[in-house]
Amino acid sequence: MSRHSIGWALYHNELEKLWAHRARVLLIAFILIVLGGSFIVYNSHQSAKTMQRQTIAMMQSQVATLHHQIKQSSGTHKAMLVTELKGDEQGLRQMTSQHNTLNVASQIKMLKTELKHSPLASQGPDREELAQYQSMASHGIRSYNPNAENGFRLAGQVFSNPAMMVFALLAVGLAADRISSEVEGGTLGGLLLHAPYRLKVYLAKLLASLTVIWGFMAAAAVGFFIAGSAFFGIGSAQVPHVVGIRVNILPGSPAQVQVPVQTFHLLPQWSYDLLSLALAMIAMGALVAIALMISILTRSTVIALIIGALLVVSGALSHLLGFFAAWDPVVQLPLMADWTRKATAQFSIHGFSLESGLMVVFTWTAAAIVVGLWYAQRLDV
Amino acid sequence: MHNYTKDQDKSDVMIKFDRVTKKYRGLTVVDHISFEVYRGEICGFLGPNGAGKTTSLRMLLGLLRPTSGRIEVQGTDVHRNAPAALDGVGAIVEESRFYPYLSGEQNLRQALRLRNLDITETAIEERLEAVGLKEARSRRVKGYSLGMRQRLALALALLQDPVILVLDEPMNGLDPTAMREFRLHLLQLSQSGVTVLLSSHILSEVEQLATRLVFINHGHIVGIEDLRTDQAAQAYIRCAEPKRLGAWFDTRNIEAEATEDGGYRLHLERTEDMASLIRRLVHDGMDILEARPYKENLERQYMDRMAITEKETQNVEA
Repeated sequence: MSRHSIGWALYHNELEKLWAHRARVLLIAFILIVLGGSFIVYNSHQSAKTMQRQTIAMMQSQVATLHHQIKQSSGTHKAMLVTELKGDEQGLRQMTSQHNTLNVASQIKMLKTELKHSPLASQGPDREELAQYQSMASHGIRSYNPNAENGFRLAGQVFSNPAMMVFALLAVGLAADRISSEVEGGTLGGLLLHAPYRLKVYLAKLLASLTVIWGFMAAAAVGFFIAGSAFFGIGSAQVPHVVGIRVNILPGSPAQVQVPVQTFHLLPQWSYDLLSLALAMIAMGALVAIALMISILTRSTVIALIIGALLVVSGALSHLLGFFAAWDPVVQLPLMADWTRKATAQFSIHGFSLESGLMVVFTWTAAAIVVGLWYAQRLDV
Repeated sequence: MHNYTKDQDKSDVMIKFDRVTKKYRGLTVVDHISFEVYRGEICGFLGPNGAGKTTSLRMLLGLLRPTSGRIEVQGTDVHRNAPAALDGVGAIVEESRFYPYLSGEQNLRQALRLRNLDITETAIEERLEAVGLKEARSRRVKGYSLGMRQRLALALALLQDPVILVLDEPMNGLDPTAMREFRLHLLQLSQSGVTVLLSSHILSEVEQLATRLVFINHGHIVGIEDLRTDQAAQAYIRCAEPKRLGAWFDTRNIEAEATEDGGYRLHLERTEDMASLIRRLVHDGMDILEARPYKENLERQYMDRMAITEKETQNVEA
């Protein structure tokens, strides 16, 4: 007979209850998110490819027509057609090069040449690109298609796209009824009779909810990797990913204006994927802590779920919140997940950064846990 | 068997309510109640619906916080140190609730795990068999009948050789056989020193079990009666000539209360006085038809207590 502490027993029981109660929902969500999400990405990727091919074919046809017209024309009209042909041929070359796999060595050579002839102020993007190709070369990657998806990219990038909203809703759904449903169902009394340790009961519920949502996210990451590999191939885990681009919003300019400065870092894709997953897990952890607090404060599953769902969608209404949006934990979600800081441009809040996002998220988490624990001791069951 | 006496040693107090009050949004549900329950006794806790029984029991089990006052279990304040106070306390509180999406076996295993008890297949099977739920062990509790749930609640309440049992309507949904088994089990537990605080609407069951009664109504304790000491020295006498018997009592200044069936109920100083009384009556030529120790019908006591409270309440309101 094995003997365990009351904390372990509570945690074990909570996991058992969550699994028995929510296994079906989790399985359906997993299939929807991973298979559905991968299929949507695959489909949009295929559509983009088809559109690109059609555009190239159209431009090739246009270039051929121009050649034919130039042969038959003369004078000023011919000169105009030649100018138009040059533009179209350049566009066609660009389109074709985007579609094709690039030779890393020749790309490095081309970028170095371009950097020699471009002014210092506009060298940022080229330097960033050059650093990426140099990193690939140092890891033995000889060719690279920037538009090609692979298993690694899909697994990592999913934590910076709308799938995060589904994870967020799932996190709220899992935690929001942990206490309220026990109060409503009358089972909390029985639980406290066998384990009159209110703080430990609360913490066990929190940890069990975190375990399930984090386990689900990790499983989803593996699922996306497998599905991505099946659809697009595995690819290289060493492909560099640019992070740390500082985005500023110019005063008085539209939110989309971005001024990257050269403070970027390169991370191999596997490292980027893991860090994205970790940041997304932190963000979901905050939501779980908040949802559990709402669950104990309201003692009503319906109200807790409504408030939780409103919290999740509040990110979309951040433009109405003004300065206070900076303290909306959900506004921080895309920032947390897309730590390249490109997402900051979507919100008109100055000083948005990974650090500030982490601070907001940790503040909310700590406050939610403290309030939840305080109220757990006073709750009349 | 541990016998309760009025001069019970203080160390034998297992449950103590000390001027406990509970208010909900200004409404006083329990008002300064004080009583004690002693080791090994079965204490009936009686009152109509809404009297404050369940609220009191939930406060006793640490589920509700009293607005004022103090509740001690095994000498420890429940609301200061619940784990110590409630160690060895088994309970059934009102309607038994379980996780409907778990099976009976899973519900039991969860409780066993929390009590750090044996969760092997054999241990679980034995416990379920004891309450007649072995066949239904794998079924989800949401498919259980009220009686099955109540039997599972009993299994959980008796998990850990309890020192104290707090039972709120434990016989709800039990069939007569199960009720009898439960009654015998409770008596066995009481004889082995387990203290029982029992709230039930089935007065006949309480009457067969309880050694002491605490009556509550409108949040007030309206009476505490020790069924052994208070009733042991009462006698019931019925003679062929009731009027002559009444006069016999009057001339000797013996307080006797006429009953509806022509008999008399009277208090004796000691139980041994019963034999002496019968001898004197026979000596004076009374034809005794019935003479026995008197035990007041619980239903009548209950109705009397509640009627008094209702009258007092009406007077206060007037």
